[in-house]
Order: sequence, then C-alpha cells, then structure tokens
Amino acid sequence: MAVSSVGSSVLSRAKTFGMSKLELKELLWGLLFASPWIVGLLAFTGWPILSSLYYSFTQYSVLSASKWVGLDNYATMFVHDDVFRRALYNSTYFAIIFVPVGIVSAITVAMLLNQKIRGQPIYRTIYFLPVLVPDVALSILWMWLMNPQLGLVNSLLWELFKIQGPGWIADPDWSKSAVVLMSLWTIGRSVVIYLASLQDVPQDLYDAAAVDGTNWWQSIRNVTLPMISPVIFFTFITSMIGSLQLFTVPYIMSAGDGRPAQSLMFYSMSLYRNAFIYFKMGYACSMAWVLFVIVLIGTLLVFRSSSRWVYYAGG
Amino acid sequence: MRAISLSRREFLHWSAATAAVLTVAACAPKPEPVAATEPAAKEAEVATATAAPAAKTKVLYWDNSSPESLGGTVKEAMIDRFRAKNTDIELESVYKPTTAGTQMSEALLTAIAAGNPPDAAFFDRFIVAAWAAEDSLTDLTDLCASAGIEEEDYFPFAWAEVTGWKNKVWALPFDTDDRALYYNKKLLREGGFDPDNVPQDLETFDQWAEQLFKSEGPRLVTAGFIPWYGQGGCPYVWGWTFGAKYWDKADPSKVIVNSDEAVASMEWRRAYAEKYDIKQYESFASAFGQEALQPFFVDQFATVYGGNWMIAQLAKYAPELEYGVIPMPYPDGGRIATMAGGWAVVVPKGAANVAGGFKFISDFAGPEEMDYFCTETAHIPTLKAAAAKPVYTEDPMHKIFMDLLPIANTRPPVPIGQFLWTALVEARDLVIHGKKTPKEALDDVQANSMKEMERYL
Amino acid sequence: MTQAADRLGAPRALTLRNLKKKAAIKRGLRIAFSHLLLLPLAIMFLMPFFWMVSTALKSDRQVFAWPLVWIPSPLVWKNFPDAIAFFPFWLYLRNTAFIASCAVIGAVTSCSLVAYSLACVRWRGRDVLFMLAVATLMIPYQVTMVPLFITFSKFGWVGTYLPLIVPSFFGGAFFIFLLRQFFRTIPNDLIDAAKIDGASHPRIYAQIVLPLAKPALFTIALFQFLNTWTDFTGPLIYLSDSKMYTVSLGLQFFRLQHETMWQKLMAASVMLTGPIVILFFFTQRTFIQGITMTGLKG
Repeated sequence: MAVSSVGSSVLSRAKTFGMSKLELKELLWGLLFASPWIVGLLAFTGWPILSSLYYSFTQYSVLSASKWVGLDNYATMFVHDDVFRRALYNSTYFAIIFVPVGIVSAITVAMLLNQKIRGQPIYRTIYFLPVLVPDVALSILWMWLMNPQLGLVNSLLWELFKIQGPGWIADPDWSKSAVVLMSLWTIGRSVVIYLASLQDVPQDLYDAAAVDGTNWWQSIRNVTLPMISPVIFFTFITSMIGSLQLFTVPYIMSAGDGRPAQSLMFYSMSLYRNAFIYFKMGYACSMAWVLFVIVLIGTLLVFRSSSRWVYYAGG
Repeated sequence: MRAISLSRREFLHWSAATAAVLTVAACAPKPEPVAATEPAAKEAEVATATAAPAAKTKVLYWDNSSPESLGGTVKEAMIDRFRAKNTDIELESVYKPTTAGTQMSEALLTAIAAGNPPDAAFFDRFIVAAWAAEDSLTDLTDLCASAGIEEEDYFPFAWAEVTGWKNKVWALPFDTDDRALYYNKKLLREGGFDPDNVPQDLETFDQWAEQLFKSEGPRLVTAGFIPWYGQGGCPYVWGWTFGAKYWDKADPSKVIVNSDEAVASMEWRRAYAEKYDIKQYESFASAFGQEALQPFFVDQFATVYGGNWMIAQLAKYAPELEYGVIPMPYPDGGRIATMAGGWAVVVPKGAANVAGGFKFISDFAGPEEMDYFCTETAHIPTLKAAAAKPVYTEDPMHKIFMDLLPIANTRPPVPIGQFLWTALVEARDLVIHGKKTPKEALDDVQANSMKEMERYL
Repeated sequence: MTQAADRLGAPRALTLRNLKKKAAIKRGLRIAFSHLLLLPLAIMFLMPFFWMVSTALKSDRQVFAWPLVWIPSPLVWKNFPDAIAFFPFWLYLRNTAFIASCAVIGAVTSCSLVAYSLACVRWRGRDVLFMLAVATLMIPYQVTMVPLFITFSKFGWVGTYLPLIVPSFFGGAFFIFLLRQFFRTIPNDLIDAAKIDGASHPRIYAQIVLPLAKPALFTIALFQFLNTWTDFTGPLIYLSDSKMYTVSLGLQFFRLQHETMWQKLMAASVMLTGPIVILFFFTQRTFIQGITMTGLKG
C-alpha cells in the first residue's frame, strides 16, 4: 500500500523526468526485475572487475602492495613479450576454427536429436555424457587416442583410408587441431541449449512450410535457423569468449607449459602463470583487459551484424 | 497454440523435484557460524578455559598431503604426538590440496592476501625465496637462533634454499629427494654391454644409449636414453652435468643461464633430438604410462634419470625388473649432477599466532619427527644427523642416493625461480624442435630473466 | 494437393494409399538415415564415459596398459567400495548436493527475473545493462578471484558456504544472456494480449513467460548444478573446515605426491556422475519433446 502510493506519486511526476507515465512505469518495473543483478554487481562482481582494471596499471604481486607503473605493462606486452604474442596467436587460431565448427556441429547434432525417432532419450544422454567426464580424464584418453604411433585415430586413418596420420599433439603444427577435435567432444552443453531452443519453434511453421512444398533443407534454412537465431547469437558470443579463455584442456595436454614448442600456450595459461606463479598479477590484469578489448570488438561486430540475421519473435 | 498451464504430470514432476531438493537441504549440515560470531565463541572458550589450569592458544596448520595417503597418515600421527606433548595448544590441521598438476597453493595465496592465513603451512622449498621476496612469509631468523637451529645441522642445499632471499631464514627444511641414473640390466646385456660397468663419462654413455635404441620400422620400441624425460625435465640438471654454475651465494641477485657450459648442455640435448627424430620421441612420450606402467618398468626405456622414490615404486610394480643405479655420467669439465627437491614448513606473514606456529613447525620438522616421517615414508631427511642413520644406506641402491646428498644441487633460490624454470623448459622445447639454436634460446632467457629480476633489486 | 501430385510424378495414381505409402517410405528413409548418423557418433561420444567406468574396474597393471584395455579382466569391483571409503564420500556428497541445490534455486529465480527485465519490459537503458552484463563475461576469473576473495573476507564469509551460494541469487551474466535470448522468442502478441487484459508484469512473468521457457529453465538448472558440482577453486579457497568440504575437494584425496590413484579416482567419479546421468535421462523427457519433421503431410 505504501509502495503503490509512493509509486503513484513518482509516476505523477513522470513529466519532470522527460518521459511519459508509461515509460516511467516500464523503467521502474525494468529496474525492479533487474535489481538482483544490479545489486550483485555493486556488492560482488563490480569491484573485482574495476580493481583488475586499476591493477593493470600497476606492478602488483597480490602479496604485497601495488606500485603504479602506468602503461608499462601494456608496453612490455606488445613490445617485449613474445610469449604474449604466441599465446594470443594460439588462442585466436583455436577460436577462429572452433567457434564455427563447434556451432555447426552442435546445431546438426541437436537437430538430429530433436526428431521423434526411437531411442532419442538414450542418444541424447550419450551425447551429453562427455560433459560429465572430468576434464583430466578426457584429456588423458584423448592423448592416447591421438597418439601418432599407437593411437586409435591414426590406426583407423591408416586401416580405412591408407592415410599416414599427422603427429597430433606431438607435432607443433597439429597440436591445436587436436585440441579442436577434443573440444568437440564436449559440445553436449551447446546441444542441450539448441535442443531447448528447438522446442520453441512452432509446429505450425513447419506444417505451413510442408504445405508449400519445401524440402527438408529449405525448411531448415527458412524456418528452423531463423527461429533459433537468437540462441545461435548467444552461443556464438559465449563460444567466442570461452574459446579465447580456454584453459584446462590445453593446460593438461601440454603439461602446463604449452609444449610442443609453445604451440599449446593458450592465452589464459600465460595469464594464469603471470598471475599466480610469477607474482605479476598487475601484468596478468593488463593481459585480461587486452583480451577484453579484443573480445568486445568481436562481440560488437556480431551485435552489429545481428540485426541482419537474428530474428526475435518477441520484443 | 501452446497450453500455458502445467499439466498434471509436469506438476507432479516439479513437486517431486522440489521435495527432493528440500529434503537434501534439510539433511545438509548447517554452515559453520559466520566468522563474525567466532570471536564471541572464542571469548567464551577462553573464559571457561581460564577457569581450568591453562588457557589454550590456537594454531592452524595447512597441509597438502592426501589424508589417506601414506604421507598423510604419518603426518597425522606426528600431529597427534604434538598435541599430546603440548596440551596448552589447540592444533587444527586442515587439508588444502594444491591445484591439480601444480604445486601451487591458491588457497594460501588468497588467504595471505586477505590477511587471514594459517599459522603454519606445508610448503614447496623451491618457491620459498620467491614468496619471501614478496613479503608473504614470516622471518624466522631470530626464532631459529633462540631455538638453537643452525645452518650446520642441514645439508648445504637445503639451507641455501630457505635462506636464499636476503640471507634470512624463511622456512624450516623438511624432507628431500634426489636423482640418479637407473638402468635396466637385462636390456643392457641384450645390447652387448656389461651392466656392472656402466660408464661414468658422458661420451661413452651416449654411445651405449645409441646402441640401445630399437625400432621396428618407423616405430620406436625401446629408447636408450631420453634426456628430458621425467626427472630429466629439470632444465638445470644438464647444465650442472656440463659444469655450469647458475647462481652464487656471494652475488645472490645474479643468475647466469647462458654460460658456455649451459649452452653446451643444450647443444647435447639438441643432438639427441636430431639424431633420434624428435617426433618419434614425443609420440613415444605421449603414450607413456604412469605409475605401474612407467616406460622404465616395462622395458621400454633402457635407462632413465629418476628420483630415489622410484626404488619403492619398482619394488611394488616391477619386482622382477633387474636394475642398477649410478650417479649421472658427465663429460670432461663437468660434474655429477643431482637435483635435490623437497618440502619445508613455513609461518605465513600475518599469521595470528606466530609463536605457536613456530613451536609447531620446529617440532614437526625437528630431528625426531623428521626422522619418523622419513623412515616411515622412505623419504630423505634434510638434517644431516638424521640422514646419517644406517637405515637409509641399508639398500645399496638407496645408498647411492644418500651419498650424493652432500654434493646435491638446488635450483637457484631467487625470487624469479619459477619464471626461470618455465623459461628454461620452454627454451629446451624450442631448441629440440629446431625453432631456436641453443645459444639463441639461452641468451633470450638470460635477457628476459634480468628484466624480471629488476623489480626485486 | 496438386502441387504435391506434380512432385510425385504425374502419371502415378493419386490414391490416398499411394500417398501414404510414399510418406511412409520417406519417413523410413529419414529414420534410417538419422540412425546411420547418430549411431557411430554415439559410439564416439560414449567412449570417454565408458573408459571411465572401465578404468574404475581395472587393476594397477592394466590402467595404463598399451594397447588400451577396454574391458578389464579381472573386473576389480573392489575399487568402488575402496574409493568411497577413501574420503568422507557421503558427507561431501551431502554438502555438495546442498550447495548445488541452493545455487540452482538462486540461479533460476534471479536470472529469470533479470532476463525478463531485459527481454519483456521495454525500458530505457535495458540494452546498456544487457551489454554491461555480457561485458562482465569477458574478464577471465583469474584476475577477479583475489579481489573477490578479499571482499568476502571483509564480509566475514570465508569459512562458510555463503560465497558459494549467495552470488547465484544475484544473477549470473551467462544465464541471464541465455534466458534473455529465449524470452525474446516469445511472441509479442501473447504478452500484449495479457497486458490488455490488465495483467501486471509479475503476473506475465509468472504465468506466461516462465511456463513457456521451461526448456530454457531446465537448461539453466542443469548447467548451474554442474558448475557447482564440479567447482574446485571456490570450495578450495573459501572452505576451511574439512567437514564442510565438497566432492571436488574429496577427489583430490586420490592425488598422491608422485602418483595418482586412477582407478579409485575414476570409480569415485563414476559414483558421482552416475546419478546425474540417470537424472538427466529421466528428466529430459519432460522438457525436450522433440518434433516430427514431415516433408509431406498426408
């Protein structure tokens, strides 16, 4: 009761805020519903992020006080540090390959799993299983399967196609591809998300398309993909962020140092090392913010293009 | 048009799920009282304790041994004895695992940063200097002096590691380990060599190793020797073997990684990589088993540079394997190289109870308990007196490791210790893959480490 | 109907029976084709879990045998009870279930509320807030970990479950982003119709949007559960009483100084993921109905 009287008195002054009563009402509702996140930002997440920005301009070891150094960290990064350049290259290379491959694979698998054929619950569970296997187990298993001399992958390539398989993680030129293949095992998460979004595609649309005589590929292109495009947008951006921040898999597969020949030195591995092993948290923060800018630019590009390919049925 | 109400089935599902969650929640242990209420509890405790003969002080100790492992259970016994001897101290021991694949203790780092660390912690001796340089450990020099703990009690390498930073004592050494060359007698015989006469000079040894490599077509079946496998991965070992000196106590802030000897050792490793096709090595390497199926245990390696703990593993996993141990061969102008690693105990900076923490660690790492721990777990003590006990030299294999201790080397105890290690490992990796020449690679590491060192000077 | 007939080829008799037969053949082909794709991939995807179970049943010598042993003999069933006895399994399991359930409740409620604001309420600045939320995803956890710890330390929450549970009640950008995308696929007409009927935002949220987004909410719940279940760093730095530890810390018991007890580690992991697998298998029916894609309707 007190709320509504406060509410109506605020609303009556809507004009003073330069908006209509309706706009103000929506603004208040919007803020109210969003308040959990806003409070969380102010209480928990905001300060650590801002402080990391501050520390990026300092020499900071976490254990002792920070020392302001201005743009030194950034300068060192771009001018002196070849590990940084390597790490950025490796992560970008991985992301450029894995993001599209991962999305296409996940959508394909999700569509396959979305049909009403027998055994789907079993199939869906199986495709999700690798997500539940601990990363360390996945990595070890994959390292064996991809062993150039003795592993299953190269054996099959030889037996079936008479191709001499590459050196995979023993070969600096193939190690990242090995990581891509390994990461494809865990597309189960994306598949679940796509499966959920496929539920929202109204059956009527498919029926109408069928009546119009479209074949299966056309109905995918004209009905399915547009209807799930908001979720594709989501997975594109989160996959891009996740790929650039990938840590555990390359860390385990390269014994923490990016071997062979630094080909698996991923960005977040170098960042982790600087932060916790070298006591250069300030430098790690500047690495984080450089990555942030890169990801932000990528995201903004995707956002900008989204008006062309993302279709929202709602508001 | 979709139904927007829950069907009965869905309603039942949701109810079941909610009920399950609530049941679990009800069964869960209640969280410990928030720290804010702890002082009140402590006060109450102290108040009742003063009525009793002695007030108890609290000491918090963090350990990283799996509680059910041999090391963990032995330590538990040591801690219980401490409790029995010191009834005025309430010692709490907490298991804080390191991050998988590292010796890194994120928990300790964050706790010290936030100002509420434990009073004592089990700590990797290798990084004592680095953490000390960051002002995160309590200076124990005076406490050691009054407790009668002296440099002469310990092996030189151990004391050097805990006093590397500003020549003050930052930790008490605990146990150690060292390394030597293991060889498979059967494979040596099959190769036409006399297993009782393994050469001590590197050149001859390299020739032996060459003969011991066996391939079936393109596949490597047996490796004679892979310098950087296992404990040979320590980049300093080969520098030491060739006679390099990386660090001098007289000039503690200087590190030299690109001495001629170090470059020569890198050249030697590069030669191995080139001769035996590094890609074959690496694929051989990534098929490596661990534990029970380490390549040396299953006749895949003729020789390997391994640690003293492998003796116990061999006894357990490959009891029929005929093997021998000798100090690592070295070239002219070089020396026997063994790296001594191991652990220590520290009192973090900002600990609430420094005196109590020190009392505990001086007992825990004292002669009696160290002796107990090392004999029970087949580790090696850092106290010379304890290591002189005959039990360590009963096994002729183990005696070889013990005899190496007085001349054992330790990694340079400098603040940039971990940076150096990873930089040298990466340098080696680049060299053996032909991406850099030995001199190039080491010169780069030298330049970079000088830069890193600047902020500590 | 005539269009369809043209596609079939004009001369054939346009009996209903023939059309139905054609549709059946097409359906049969599609089903066969789907299985043809799904089955071999399924075998590949099954491999890791299968290997986990198989390793859990191996003896010491077979764990790393080469070539890989897929079906161990003998089957060492003892690894399972040994693994459970090796650390306080049931205690840690209860702890983790408690934390995870709370986090799931927190995530589903808070993220859906915030997503509703960003998707269904038209207010100025909602896009800015959305971009801000997405931006927070771009900062890696390594650089926020310590300041966050210090924050919780100042609150006095270190040593409790609070740092592991409370933040989930204040939204997480990842889930907010996901739900916002889902909510925006809900057709405007539905919401507008409800507004015309006089429904307020809370009612629209609860009675229209939430029920329609069930599959998405299920996904959020699943992911939050998995994240909390497998979280290692959080419990490591925030919990100081080993009676409160979680299963991810418990699994560390199997890491010894120079070796890892792989069989017991895998056995414990199987015990911990098994129930999740079963839960997933049974709950997915409710949320993923699947559709029948027809090329031709009879």
